[in-house]
Amino acid sequence: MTNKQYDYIIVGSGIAGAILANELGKQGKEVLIIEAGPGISQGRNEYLKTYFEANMKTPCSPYPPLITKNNNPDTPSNPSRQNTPRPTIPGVINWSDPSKSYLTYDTKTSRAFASGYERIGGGTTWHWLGTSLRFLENDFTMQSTYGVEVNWPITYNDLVSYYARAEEGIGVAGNTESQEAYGVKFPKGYEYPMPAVKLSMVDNMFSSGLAGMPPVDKAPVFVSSTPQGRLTQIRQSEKRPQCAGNTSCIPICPIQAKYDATITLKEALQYETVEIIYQTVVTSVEIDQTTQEISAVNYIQYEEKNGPATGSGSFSATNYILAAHAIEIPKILLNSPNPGITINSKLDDANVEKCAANSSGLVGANLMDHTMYLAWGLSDKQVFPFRGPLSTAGIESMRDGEFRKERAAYRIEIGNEGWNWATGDPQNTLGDLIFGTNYTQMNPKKEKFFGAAMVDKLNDIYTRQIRLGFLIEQSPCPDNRVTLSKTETDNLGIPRPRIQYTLSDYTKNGFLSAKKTASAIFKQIGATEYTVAPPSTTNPAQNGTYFQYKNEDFVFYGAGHVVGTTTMGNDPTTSVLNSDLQSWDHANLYIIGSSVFPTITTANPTLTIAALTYRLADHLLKKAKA
Amino acid sequence: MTTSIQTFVTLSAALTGISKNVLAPTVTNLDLPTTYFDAAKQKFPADFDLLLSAFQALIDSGKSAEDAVATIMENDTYAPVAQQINFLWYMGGWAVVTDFGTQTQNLSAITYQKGMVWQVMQSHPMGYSVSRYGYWGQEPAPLNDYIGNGE
Repeated sequence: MTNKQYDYIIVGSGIAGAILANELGKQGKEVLIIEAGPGISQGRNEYLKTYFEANMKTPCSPYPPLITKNNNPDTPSNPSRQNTPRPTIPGVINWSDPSKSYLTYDTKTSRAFASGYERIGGGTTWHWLGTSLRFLENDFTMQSTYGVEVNWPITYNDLVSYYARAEEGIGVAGNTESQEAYGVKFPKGYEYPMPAVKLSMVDNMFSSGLAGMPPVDKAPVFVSSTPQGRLTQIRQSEKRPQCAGNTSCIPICPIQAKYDATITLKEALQYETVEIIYQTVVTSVEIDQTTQEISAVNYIQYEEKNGPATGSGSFSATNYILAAHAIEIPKILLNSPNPGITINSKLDDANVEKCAANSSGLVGANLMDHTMYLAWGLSDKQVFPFRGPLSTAGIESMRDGEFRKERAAYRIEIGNEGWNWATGDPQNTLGDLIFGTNYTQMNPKKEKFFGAAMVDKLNDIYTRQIRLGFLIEQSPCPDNRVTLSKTETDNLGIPRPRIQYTLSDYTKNGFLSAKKTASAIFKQIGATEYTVAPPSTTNPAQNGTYFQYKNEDFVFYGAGHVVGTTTMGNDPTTSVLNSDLQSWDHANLYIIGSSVFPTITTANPTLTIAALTYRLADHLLKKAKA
Repeated sequence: MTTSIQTFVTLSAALTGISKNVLAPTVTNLDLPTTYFDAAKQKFPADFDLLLSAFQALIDSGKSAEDAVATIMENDTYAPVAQQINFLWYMGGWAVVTDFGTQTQNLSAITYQKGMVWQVMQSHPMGYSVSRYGYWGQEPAPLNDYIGNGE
C-alpha cells in the first residue's frame, strides 16, 4: 500500500468522508480513506454493552477510548495516555485539568468548549441524534440581510438539489408542509424519502397547548415535526429495521434504524478502488515548497488502543481531502509547517502561524457550537416521556426574523427523554426520594419515601417531565479558536488542542430571549417550570460553562455541533477555503465537514455537511474530467 | 428459593412497592433476587443479615410486610441498608449520594436493563425497547401492568 499513488486521500471516515469515498468510488477513482480510530467491524453490540454498563451515560460513553477509568465518573481517562483522545463530558467538567481534559485552556480568558465528537470508523454519526433540518435562505446571507455575522459564498439555491441528494442518501423521514410552514422552500412537488416520524405524546401536548399563542420576542411560536434520519418504513434498498423508539439515539441506536455513516462507508468499501486503513493517525501534510501543492500526508500507526506507536510513514495522492472534523482538521494543518507561505491576513495579530492553508491566518479561528439553553418543567398532565426517539419535534418558527439584527436566533428542540439531560434522571429524582435529598427540587421537604407512596410519587413525576433545548446561534469570532498546546500531547506525542472560547453579547442576548420564551411557553401550556441555573460557585462541575449576563445566571450546554475553524468564503484574506472548499493556498487540498461553515445558523449541521459533500464530489469529478 | 431469599423478596416488594411476581418472576433465566441478595451481603456483610432477621422477626410477630418495612425505616442501622437495596432494585446498581445528585454504580449491563425505574414510568430502559414503531404516540399500558397488582 505504501508506494501507491491514489487519486484521492480522504482523512476521516465520518459522514463526509464516507459519502465522498462512495461518490468517488462509483466513478472508479482510486481512493484511500485514513481513519484514526478502530474499524467498523467492531460491532454495535460491544458498544451497546459498554453503554449499558456505563455509570455515566454521556454521548461518548459507549465508544473507545473509554471516557473514565474503572467506570468511575470521578476519574476521567488521561488524554495524554490515549492514542485518539477526544473532548468528553468528564473533560468539560474537569476542563481546567489537562490530565482529565483533552482540550486545554487558559482558564482565565476562556470558557469551556462543551461539545465532543468521536474518532472511530463512521465518526460522530454513531452518536448523532438524526435531526436533518435544512438551513434557511437567510442563514446564508446574514451580513447582507441583517448586517451581522458574514455571508456564505453560496446561497440556499446553490444547495437545494444537494439537500435532496443528502435526504435521499441519509434516508430522511419528514413532512414538507410542516417545514414550509416556517419558511423552508422546496422545489414544487418535492417529498421527503419517507413519511415523518410519528409525533410523541409530549409533542402533541406542546402542539395543542401552543395553538393561538401570541408571538414572543417578535417571533411566532408553533410546533413542527422534525425531519430525521431514521426509518419510518423499510426501504427496499436496505436491510435495516423501522425505528422502535429505544430512546437512546444519543449515544447509540441499538438496532441501526437511525442512519449512521457506517452504512455509506460499507457501500463505499464495496468498490475495489476504495481502500481504508484504520488506527492510522494523520499528523500533518507535506507541502511542496516550489508548487505549494500537498505532496503527502504523514501518519503514525498503533495496534493496541492505548499502546505505543507501531509505525509511521506517508501516503501520496493527486488530491487530498481533510474530513476529520472541526478540531482535528486545524490540528493537522497547524502541525504542518509551510515556510514558503505568503501571509495576507487581515488580522491585527502579526504572529500568524506559517503553516498549511493559513495565508489568511484563520486556520483554527471562528470555532462555534450551538450553545444550548435548557429549560424543564412538569406538565399538568401525563405525557409519558422516556419513550420514542429522543426528539421528534421542535419549535422552528423562531429561527429567522428581523430580531436577528439584535440577538441570536434559535430553534427549540422538544425532548422526549423527560429530565434525562436536564437533571440526570431517572436516577436523581429516585435518589432524592429514597435518600431524602432535593437535588431535582422534587423533594423540598426532604422526606424519605419507600413502598407504594414512592411508586405513586415517582410515576406522577416521571410521566409529566418535559424539557426544551434552545440551540442558540453562536456568532463567528476569530478569537474563538483552536491552536496547538505547547506543553500537552497525546500518547503518540501529537500536540493537543488549546482552545480559546467565549460567547459574544449577540449570543448572550439569545440566551436572555430563550429564558423569556421558555417561561412564556411553560405558562401557556399550564406547566410548572423547574429550570435552575446555579451560580458557578454552587456546582463545580458547571464551572466552565457558567456565565452571568445582565444580572442573570446561565449555564450553557454543548449541542455537539463543532463548527468553523476552516471557513469558506469569497475573499482569501478572510477565509481558509473558496466556495469549492478548496484551500486558497494549495490547489490540491480540500476540506469538508462543518469546519467549512462560515456561520453556524439555527439548524443541526449534519444534513448540510452531507449536502456540501455531494456538491464537493461533483466538483472533484468535474475537475478530474477537465 | 431459600428461606432467606424469600424473606429478601418479601422485604424488597414492600420496600419498592413493586409486586413480588415482577421482582421474582417464576419463568426467567435470570435470578435477580439471588444476584441482589449476594451483592447486598457482600456490600453490608454484618448489617444485611441483621436487617433480614429484624424484618423476619417483625413478620413473625404478625406485622404485615408493609408495616414491618415502615418499622425498619425508623431504625438508623437498618434504614441506610434498606434504602440502598431499594435503589438497587430500581436502578440496577448502588447509589453514591453526592452534594450534586445521585450517581449509580451499575452491577452489570443486565441489571441496568432490569431496573424497576423503567417500569414505574411505564416505559423501557433507555437503549432497550420491545415495543413497535410509533408506540410513543399512544398512552402506555396501565401502571399495574408494569409493577404488578400486589401479588
